[in-house]
Amino acid sequence: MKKKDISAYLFLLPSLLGLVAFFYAPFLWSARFVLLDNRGAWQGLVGFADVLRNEMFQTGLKNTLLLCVLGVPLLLVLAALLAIVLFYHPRVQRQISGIVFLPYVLPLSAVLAYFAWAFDPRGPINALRDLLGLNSVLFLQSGALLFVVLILYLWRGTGFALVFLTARLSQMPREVLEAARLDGAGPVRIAWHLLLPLLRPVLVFAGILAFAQAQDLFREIYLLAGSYPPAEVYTVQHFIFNSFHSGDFGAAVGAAYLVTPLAFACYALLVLGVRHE
Amino acid sequence: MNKKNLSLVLFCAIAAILFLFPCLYVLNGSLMSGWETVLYWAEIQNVGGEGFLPLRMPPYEPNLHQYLELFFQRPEFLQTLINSFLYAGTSVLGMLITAPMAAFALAKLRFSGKRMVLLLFVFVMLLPYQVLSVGQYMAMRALDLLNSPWALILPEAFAPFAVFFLQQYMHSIPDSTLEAATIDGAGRMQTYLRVVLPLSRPALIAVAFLTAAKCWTMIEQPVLLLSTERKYPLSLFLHVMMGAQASAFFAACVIAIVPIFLLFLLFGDTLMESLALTES
Repeated sequence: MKKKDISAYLFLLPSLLGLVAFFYAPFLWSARFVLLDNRGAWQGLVGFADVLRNEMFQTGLKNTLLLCVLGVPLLLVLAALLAIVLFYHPRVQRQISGIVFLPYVLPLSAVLAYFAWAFDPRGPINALRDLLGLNSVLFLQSGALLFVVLILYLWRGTGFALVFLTARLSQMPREVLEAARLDGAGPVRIAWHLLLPLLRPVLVFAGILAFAQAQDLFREIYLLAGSYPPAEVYTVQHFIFNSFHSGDFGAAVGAAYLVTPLAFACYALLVLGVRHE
Repeated sequence: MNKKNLSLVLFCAIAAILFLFPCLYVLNGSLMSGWETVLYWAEIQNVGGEGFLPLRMPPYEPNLHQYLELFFQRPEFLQTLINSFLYAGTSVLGMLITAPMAAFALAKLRFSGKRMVLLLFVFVMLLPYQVLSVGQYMAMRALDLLNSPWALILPEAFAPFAVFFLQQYMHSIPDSTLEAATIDGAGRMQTYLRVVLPLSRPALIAVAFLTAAKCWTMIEQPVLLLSTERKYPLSLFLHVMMGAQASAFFAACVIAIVPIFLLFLLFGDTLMESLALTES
């Protein structure tokens, strides 16, 4: 190893040690729970097969996928739209993006207390449905919780993505914009041909973060409905958490490993989708 | 007022209602007397009830009883508040010591295996917490750190997001600046301490803010790793209070919002600024 390399790795050392000690080593070491049986003998992939056959795991996987497929694109579209609208209104850009970012840092319990009121059968959302002649819905006690969770996700995550997108748009040179205007391009054309391409790389990054947040929606669902929520919002993370708590480490680790390639598939899709728009 | 302005005002109003009203709701709740909160919980619990769920805005008699109760009669609340400060503070400190060094190496030094190392960080960044949780629990058990605050702090202090974020930012520091320092006889450590760190100030502030915000709102980690309520961070203790339908719940929420809100007011602009410079 060259001298140059050694000094670079010295800079990296503390971080790498932490990364190995608290992320890689635990993750890889935990594989023994699914690869070995109770007496410590090799059992191959049986553990994974058991998890795959488990109906709760299947339900969880389906719901997690659904949440990601619905949530991430919606969030990105909303954030991009908002970023573009704010780009045309620089006077209120700071204030509005600040306000929209706020929910990201609010304590979840405070947010949930508010959502409990808003989605109560006698709350404002159901009052609105009443006005439209629709039946009221028990949002928090039924499968409609999925809808509430999605709203919660968008409400909390859009601001976070928006901050990244707004920052990116602020790099747009005003001369290019003026030139496009002089050529007779309207705001929609400018947004489509100039702003969106500029946003693409950041959309990937924001998408990754949004994807991780969608997976972590377990936290919101757990606080709203506990360990065993309605089947519509039972996620893979519930399966992992519950298996773990009942002492079935093999199932918990097996599920965790099975979800990992999924994370990368979604990441790859995101990169491809944004590149080849 | 012309038509364009009107739509702008309308747009801002909708945003404000959607995003600020929940804060107002919690603030309003915190000014209720104890009996009114208890009554309010009962009204929310009574799912079969008819009519519109009252907002109780403004409260019957606005007062600060809830805050007084929290500060003078609930030592466990103060304890968890202090815990949250300690956990978030220590995590941020640890992150600030280790992450910028690694980011500097990744952004500005040339060495073999660089791409590989960067991928190591990105890989973990992509994984949701639940995937890592079982392994982390086992590791903490092996290290005898279960039910210790360090079990929460250490993974946050070494979170790969900080390294990734900082190295993206450090790419924007021109190489010529670093070369000038080298010509002046500065070693790598000196270049790092005297040139790179000061120039990365906005990004350091931004990532410190994001780390603190993450620690301030964590739930799953303490559920999994801590067993004593006295050691809980405020974020989880709030949930305990909500479950017990405590009379001072709303005031506790307001107190939990204030520090992070103040940080945001102070550093929000720096956050946006550093993001604008970060190439992603």
